[in-house]
Amino acid sequence: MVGLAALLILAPLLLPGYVLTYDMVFVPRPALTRELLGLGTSVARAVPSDLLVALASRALPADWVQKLVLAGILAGAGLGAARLAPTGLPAGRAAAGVLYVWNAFVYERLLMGHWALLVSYAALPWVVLAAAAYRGDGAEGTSGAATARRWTGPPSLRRLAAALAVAAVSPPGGVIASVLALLVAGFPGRRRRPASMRRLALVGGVALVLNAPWWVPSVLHPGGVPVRPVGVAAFASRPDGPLGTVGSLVTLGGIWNANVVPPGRDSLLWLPAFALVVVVAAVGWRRCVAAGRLDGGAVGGLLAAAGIGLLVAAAGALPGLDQGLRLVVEHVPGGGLLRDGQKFVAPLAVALAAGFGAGVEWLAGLLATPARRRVAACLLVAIPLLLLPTLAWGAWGRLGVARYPASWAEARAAVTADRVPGGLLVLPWHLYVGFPWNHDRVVLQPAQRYFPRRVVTNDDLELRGLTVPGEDPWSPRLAPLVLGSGPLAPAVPPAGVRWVLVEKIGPWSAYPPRLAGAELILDRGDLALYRGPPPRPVELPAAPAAPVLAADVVALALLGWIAAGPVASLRRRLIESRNSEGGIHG
Amino acid sequence: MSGIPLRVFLGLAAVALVLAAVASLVLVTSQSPSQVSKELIVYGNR
Repeated sequence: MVGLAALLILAPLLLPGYVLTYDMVFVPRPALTRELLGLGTSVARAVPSDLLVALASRALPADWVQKLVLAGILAGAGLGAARLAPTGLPAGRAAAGVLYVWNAFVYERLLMGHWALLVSYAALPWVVLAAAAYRGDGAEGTSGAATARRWTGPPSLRRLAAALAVAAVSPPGGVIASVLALLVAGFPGRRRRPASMRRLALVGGVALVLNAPWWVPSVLHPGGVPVRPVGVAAFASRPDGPLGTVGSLVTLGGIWNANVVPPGRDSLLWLPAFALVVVVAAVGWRRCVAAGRLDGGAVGGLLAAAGIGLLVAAAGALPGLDQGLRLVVEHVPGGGLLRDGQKFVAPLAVALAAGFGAGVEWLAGLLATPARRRVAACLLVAIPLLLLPTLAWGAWGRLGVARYPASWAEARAAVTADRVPGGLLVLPWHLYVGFPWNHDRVVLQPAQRYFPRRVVTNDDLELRGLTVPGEDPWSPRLAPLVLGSGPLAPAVPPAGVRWVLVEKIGPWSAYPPRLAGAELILDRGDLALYRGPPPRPVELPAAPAAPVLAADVVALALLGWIAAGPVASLRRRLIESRNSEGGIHG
Repeated sequence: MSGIPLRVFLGLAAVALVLAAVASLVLVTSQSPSQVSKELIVYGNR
């Protein structure tokens, strides 16, 4: 069922080409640059996700990599939730998996292109399972043995570390998963003791090391990570329907950007069915814990994480808490992670989906005949699809594939062949753009990843009626030149720019006259490429390489230790299988 | 569900499902195949 749900969402995206939407930018063979390690001038927001894509794109075409990532997210998320659901009923597990894959959170983050956050989201059920197993010794479940085994299992730090490693692909996802693991492993409970302080310290240490590739360069970023107070309000959760901000978040929506809210959220008709999901989930958890099938401490930890996440997500919209959130974002190092707080409802989605799976078993059991039970189970599994039908078929056509025009490859070949250093200025002066060849879908400027040299463009986030200043130190140096009306050709080389790419969208026609004097290298229907004289070198602050690389090496060593477990196990099985074969024939 | 008779609960659940099905049907039949934002530069809209 989970596979079918994933296929229903992704089917049109599996065609050849790239899915380019908001922050999801995949390009053919992305260059291996210092930025990928967080050693550039930008804040390490896409570390290590962009590095992993760049490496994978050495082995496979990048559009295949993207499709595998998207399919892996949905499959991993659904299977994880199905496994976490404390029920032996296949329909219950299917209901949990489908609800976790098919909800407003996934819709909104998919449209926003937050694929790395969705990788972390997919890892969360696995984090809960591994953290629950990592609790202290104690009585096992008394009934539902298979369910109890999934939740208790053999305690394995390696298993928990593996789940945390996947979640660490995105910085906020890494934080969410780490807190979730600590709460599930350490929450007080009577059946099984919480993990000891030593074990919790180990979990915390592992989480810190696995997330070091992004937090070390962030901490060492010269001048610190820039704080943009205006962004706190701009990216706060918002109501997307009749339930207000908290209600929108409880129903797993509430993202700041109205442009990516699923259609129909302003209606009232879907609310009773969602209320049914919540009731079924609540009864499911209550019965599992009361019947002794699960360790109440682990469940308590999951529910506590869901509650804390909801509070953080709603903080920007709640009087009193909004001021606290602003203080944290402005004055606490790393506080900027709390911006765009809606992502913190992810643990609530885990709790809702797994509880719903358990509740389906209970609800189906209330019915008298097997035929009725089957019908009820099918209907319950289908509820997420009824609640959000427009997630199907690439969010009902809002997502689709596109191919980069041949002109882009020509431009890259010309820029790559040039040995003279210097940046590439991209015009028009906007960070998010829509291209006709991408069906005008808004996307983060792809040239930043497409070209193998430092690209500079406007770094400000332009919202309707509001602009959140960017963080790139180079962009403000170019802004007065670009936004003025004077000649650009003589002005940009002193600012470190060697190449100028004019994408023929929006107000592009104003630029060619201003570039008179620069050498026109390429002129195609959708872009023009200009080259200037060797530019003056620019000095831009960046994090020091040595500590960042040291953090990467330590994280890599930990990943090696994680991988050594399955490799050793596989080798042992192979040897045993050979020995048993030898025994039969001997 | 100790506070609500089983039949009432199942009836409410059935009504909720029917409403969701109707809303879903209305929604998908009223949606154009592709609702793409035509805004060139706007990252988002609150």
